[in-house]
Amino acid sequence: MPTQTECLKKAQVQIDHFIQQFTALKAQIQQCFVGQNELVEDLLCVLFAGGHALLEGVPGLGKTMLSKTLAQATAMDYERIQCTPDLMPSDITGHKTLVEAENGSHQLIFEEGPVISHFILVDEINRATPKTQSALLEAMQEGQVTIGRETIQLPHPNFFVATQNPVEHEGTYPLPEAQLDRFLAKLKVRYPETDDYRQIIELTTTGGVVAAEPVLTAETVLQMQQTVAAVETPELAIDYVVRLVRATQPQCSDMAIVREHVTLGASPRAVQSMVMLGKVKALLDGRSSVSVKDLKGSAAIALRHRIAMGFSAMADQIDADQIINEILNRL
Amino acid sequence: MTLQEFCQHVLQAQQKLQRQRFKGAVRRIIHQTSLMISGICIAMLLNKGFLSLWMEFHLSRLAVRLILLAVLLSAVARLVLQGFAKVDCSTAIRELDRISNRHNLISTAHEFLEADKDSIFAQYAVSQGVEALQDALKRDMKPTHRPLNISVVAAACIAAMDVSLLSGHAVNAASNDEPKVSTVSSAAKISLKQQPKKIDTVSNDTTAENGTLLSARQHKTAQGQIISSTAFAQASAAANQTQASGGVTSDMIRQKSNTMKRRSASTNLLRTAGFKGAGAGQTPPTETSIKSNSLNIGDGLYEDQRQAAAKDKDTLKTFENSSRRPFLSDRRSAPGRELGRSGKKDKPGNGRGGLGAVKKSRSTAALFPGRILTVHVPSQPGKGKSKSFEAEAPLKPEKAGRTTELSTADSREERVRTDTINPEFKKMTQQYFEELNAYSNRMLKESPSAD
Repeated sequence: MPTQTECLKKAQVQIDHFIQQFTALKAQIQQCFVGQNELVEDLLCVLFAGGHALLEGVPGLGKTMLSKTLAQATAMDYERIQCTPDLMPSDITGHKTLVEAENGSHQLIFEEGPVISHFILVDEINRATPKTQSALLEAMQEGQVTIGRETIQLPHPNFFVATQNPVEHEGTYPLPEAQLDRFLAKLKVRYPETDDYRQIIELTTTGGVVAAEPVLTAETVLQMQQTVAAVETPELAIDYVVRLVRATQPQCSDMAIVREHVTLGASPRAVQSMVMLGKVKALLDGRSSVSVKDLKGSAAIALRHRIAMGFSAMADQIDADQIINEILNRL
Repeated sequence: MTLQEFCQHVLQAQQKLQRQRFKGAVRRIIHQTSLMISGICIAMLLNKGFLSLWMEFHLSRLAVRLILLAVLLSAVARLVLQGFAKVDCSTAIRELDRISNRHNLISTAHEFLEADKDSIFAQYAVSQGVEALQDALKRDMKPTHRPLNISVVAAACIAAMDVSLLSGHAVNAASNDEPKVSTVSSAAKISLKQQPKKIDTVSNDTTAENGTLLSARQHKTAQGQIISSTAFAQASAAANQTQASGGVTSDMIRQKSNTMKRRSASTNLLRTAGFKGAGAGQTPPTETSIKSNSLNIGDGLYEDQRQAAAKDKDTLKTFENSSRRPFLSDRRSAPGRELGRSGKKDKPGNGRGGLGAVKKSRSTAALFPGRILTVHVPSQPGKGKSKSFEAEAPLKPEKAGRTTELSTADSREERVRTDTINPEFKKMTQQYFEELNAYSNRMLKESPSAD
């Protein structure tokens, strides 16, 4: 049985190792992807929390670039699904093909789809039809794909990054709530700062090839995810997160703004997401337990896509972020 | 650290916190008492001044003293009780967490010690909590609520009082607000009976200056200029009197315009969202237009608006739970998802069918990058992911020949009845097809694709 000092030392080593790897990965990404410090950090938090991320931003902000850079820096198997309106579910999951064997007989062979990989970029996800989008549901939640009678486990770690453009309506299909709920966080990609534009010009218009060097491997990512899962969550934090999520549900909330503008509140998955993100944030702060502050910090990205706003909110131009801020101020 | 040692530290903090609370309570008594005294002074000043306009009674000096005493006693009692209240363990821990400002580490450590968690991260959290606790104990425990600076508050109170006295804010507010107007007008009616001559002079003056009846707006400005209470009462009474003689009272107009505002606010909310309602796309009605509408058209307009609002509400319900959303920016309804021919000639196409001039391409997205097809290659499972044009590769000659032979054999034996055909004709036909078959085989052999 290890002594208390040994335990403390071991915990300290694990936390330091996590921070070191995280910082190295972030630095490597920022060599190729300029600015957006908070966005990069949040995306890495989602990766190590073991969830999937939805990047939303207007065209040209580098959503796809960020995802590709992260894939390069983590050196995981990378597949890209470019969503188009005629994409079929079997184009994502894979399908069975009839082939002729050497002895002349015929057999069905499973042709793997791009979803069976470590790192999957689902670009412009809202351009695919809901039928095709639904092919991702099982893969994202359960980490497996079922075709016919066959179930194929996806490799671990498994990380989906989807991008979408919020300004176009024609030719797009809004993501259904079931799909949105499967993303651990929705990250908004904003315009870069003034200084960042200069750096972007320098990096991209001089003819040089910008590519990230691999810093982590799939095994390291998996190990870091296990470290995150081991972080403790005190009752105080659990109470807080439960109260926070229940406050977003119109039938439970006592806030008038929620009852008036929200049609669907956050699900229990939101609780899981917030706690996991809180754990990563706690580790990055050098702690081994989640605090209320960590949960507050992760509330916006974990809840904004899980709160369905009613028409009155659209008319009054109230978005989910405003509702979350109101709740955070109240609790 | 064991739970007992941890609790001893917390007990220390509790005692320290108790002392701090008492000190804080005493400090607060002094500050709040001085605040209350200044507040009551202001109330007394107001009571003597323009407040008497609204109140039809005056506080006596004794009453003011009694109120002052009661307020003081209750405040002192509350604060003393708070100062002597016993600090429990959880409160002390929360307070320590607040002082240390380190992510609830102390309460987390307390919880983990109580639950006897033995994971390495739990032990690490406890050690961090203890560290935070010791750090908090070293710090000076300041009270939660910082006392307000009395001089600033007193100055602010006096300034507010001066501003309200000088600007005549209350007088204007009384003229803008309905219930206040009614009270003032009732007061004016009383004074009207007492001093009929004075009212006549004021009303005559105002009408003489303007040459017309006193309108509602003029009424306001006139009221703004009059500061003394009697003059104000006289002016408002005169205005009421003159407006009453014109047929429509200011109260009636105000009441109608308020109801219209409420109705138009509810319908505007829907219209800004892009739904067609009564008068969608128009600018919101101004107060004057509302007045004129209400006077000229009457209640028929309300009925239309009510129906439009009800219609919009129904439309909302249909959109509420569907993925279709209206375009909020250009106030158009959501485009339909149907692929049939719809729309009108004069409207531009939106890529969703219809007779518009400009249309989006009807080709599929997969045409641009090329589509992956599995080419059937014998004895090679899953062989070759190639572009679509490769699927149109010509048939192998030996396969083609075999297929033709089989088909002719089938037709000869099963499908064609040979007994009724002339043998010469039969021979000639057979010869023709054999020659044709030989020719096609020869051509296939000579073609370059056979290599």
